[in-house]
Amino acid sequence: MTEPAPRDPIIDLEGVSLAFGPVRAVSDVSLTIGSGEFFTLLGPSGCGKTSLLRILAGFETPTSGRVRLEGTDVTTTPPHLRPVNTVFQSYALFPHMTVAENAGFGLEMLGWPKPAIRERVAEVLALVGLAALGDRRPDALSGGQQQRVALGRALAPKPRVLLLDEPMSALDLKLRKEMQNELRRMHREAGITFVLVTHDQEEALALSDRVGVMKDGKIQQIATPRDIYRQPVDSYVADFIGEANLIPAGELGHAGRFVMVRPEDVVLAAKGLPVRIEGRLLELRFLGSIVEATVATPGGSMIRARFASAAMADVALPPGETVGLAWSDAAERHLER
Amino acid sequence: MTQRARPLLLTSPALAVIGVFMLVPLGYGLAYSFLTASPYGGAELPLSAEGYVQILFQRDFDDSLYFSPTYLLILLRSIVLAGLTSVISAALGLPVAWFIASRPARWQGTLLFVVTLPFWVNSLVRTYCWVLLLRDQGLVNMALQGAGLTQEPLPLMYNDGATLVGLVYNFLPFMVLPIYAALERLDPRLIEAAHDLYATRRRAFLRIVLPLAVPGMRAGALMVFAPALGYFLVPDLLGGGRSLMIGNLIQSAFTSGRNWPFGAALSTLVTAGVLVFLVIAARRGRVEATP
Repeated sequence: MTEPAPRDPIIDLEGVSLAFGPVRAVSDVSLTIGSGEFFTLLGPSGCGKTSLLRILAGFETPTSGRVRLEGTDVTTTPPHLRPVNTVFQSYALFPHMTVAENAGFGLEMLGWPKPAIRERVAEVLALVGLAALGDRRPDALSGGQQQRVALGRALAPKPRVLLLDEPMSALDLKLRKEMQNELRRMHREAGITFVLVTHDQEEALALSDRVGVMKDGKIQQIATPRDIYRQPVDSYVADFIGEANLIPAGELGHAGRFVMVRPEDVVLAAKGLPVRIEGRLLELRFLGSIVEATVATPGGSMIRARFASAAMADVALPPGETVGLAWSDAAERHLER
Repeated sequence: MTQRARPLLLTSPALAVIGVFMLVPLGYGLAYSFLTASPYGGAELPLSAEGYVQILFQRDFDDSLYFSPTYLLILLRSIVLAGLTSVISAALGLPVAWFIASRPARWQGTLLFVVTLPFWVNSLVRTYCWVLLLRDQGLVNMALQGAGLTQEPLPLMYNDGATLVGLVYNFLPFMVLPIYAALERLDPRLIEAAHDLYATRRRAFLRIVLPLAVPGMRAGALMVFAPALGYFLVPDLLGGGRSLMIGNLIQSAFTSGRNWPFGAALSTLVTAGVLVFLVIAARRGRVEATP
């Protein structure tokens, strides 16, 4: 699925590949990211998303293809000459420098005068909520605080693009949610382009303007979180993002490979909708606010349906019962792969 | 047996060895340094500070003392040569350690083994090889003359330079190993982060690699300076009579000089000096380690 290219592109990849010996980490990726966009590369580990980020940062030179930044070809430009900064997965804070020295390192290398560095560092530490900890060493900070230093350090030189390599993977769930909100806020306030790499689909959907789903070094689909979820291009994307019922098209009398329908779009029995397929109810699980039903079709598929538990209040279906499943036309999507 | 007593019991053999073979001789040395020299070697009562006095003063015929800088100069030369040995070893050892630390893990063990290879050959033999290299009819001079670069042999032996070369050669591995230990822990992402933050290769080295190698260099300096200060083999073979170090002085005091209290006084002085140096270095290390 091709999206129209962003109006104001800042990053433009053209047929970029990266091979390590016989292994192709990135394979013919073309991609345009708009200025000020929050773009996420999403995929399982080993899909090439981190390699692609390293190409953007300049740590890897693509085996073939071209990388443009604000219209300038930077394919072979070393990292220290790119207006791009990175938040590393392990943070990579300099252990022999204080928080303030870490945050000011980029500015120092750019040759900013000392008073200007002090001012900008204070500003950035306030932005990441560490104003009081400038004199500490990184090893005296918690994981969440270290992450904030890494963010502040990368934001201080006001890069055109901020690259984030799985920045939340080392944080616990509660802190992760908190940091996600912070990231959105910083993206709004800093007004710069964010490129995030993650394997967490919820994070990708919650944060991004657009998501690129990767598999085996290739980009499968680039779209807004909504379109990625509602209109996946293939069974891989459908299955990776959220939960999907992938029903062989033959069982429903359709052409093509699969019919994809999300569990929350499937209803039990009919409420004015024609029954699409019948099956045996295997189990009805009460999950608090929702109820989840698992139905086995005669063709051997398992279809999951999920609905508000309030709607089920007076329905008591015993397992083993034959039930009809229905969904609207808009909810189903026909996939060729 | 209590949990507390067990570690003490396990370390007691080592403690006994250190006690018997280190502290006792040191005590002997200290005691001898305050005795009077017997005419045929050894020392005897009465107690005297003559050994220490002789370091700075000599006795005239009329038994009056006059200041003589001879031994002080040798002491000074020893400190300067040992210090230079530390500095040069650090400068040479850092690139070697960095090279080893940045190889793939499977190569590092082999490379470290290569660094320690000289330890497998007797140090006397190794030092004597330098004599064969540096003497007037040695390999270096023959090659230079053969190539027509020099007409006469260069005076490569029996001077401070030759002693320094020998010392650096002997103690370099003691510098490489601790620097390697420091650099091996260095996360390569730190260097990437520095590049990402606009540092050139040179500045990434100066601001990231070098400061993180300093603890290793400090440990290496301790391991090089202290033994180099009292080394006598290298100055004896390569330095000759013109480049004496304190080790040679101590050796000759106990042998040909037959002045044991003087030798013991020099030994005590060196030991005390090294101890002060160690305490200062340890203090500085601790201050820098606390954030």
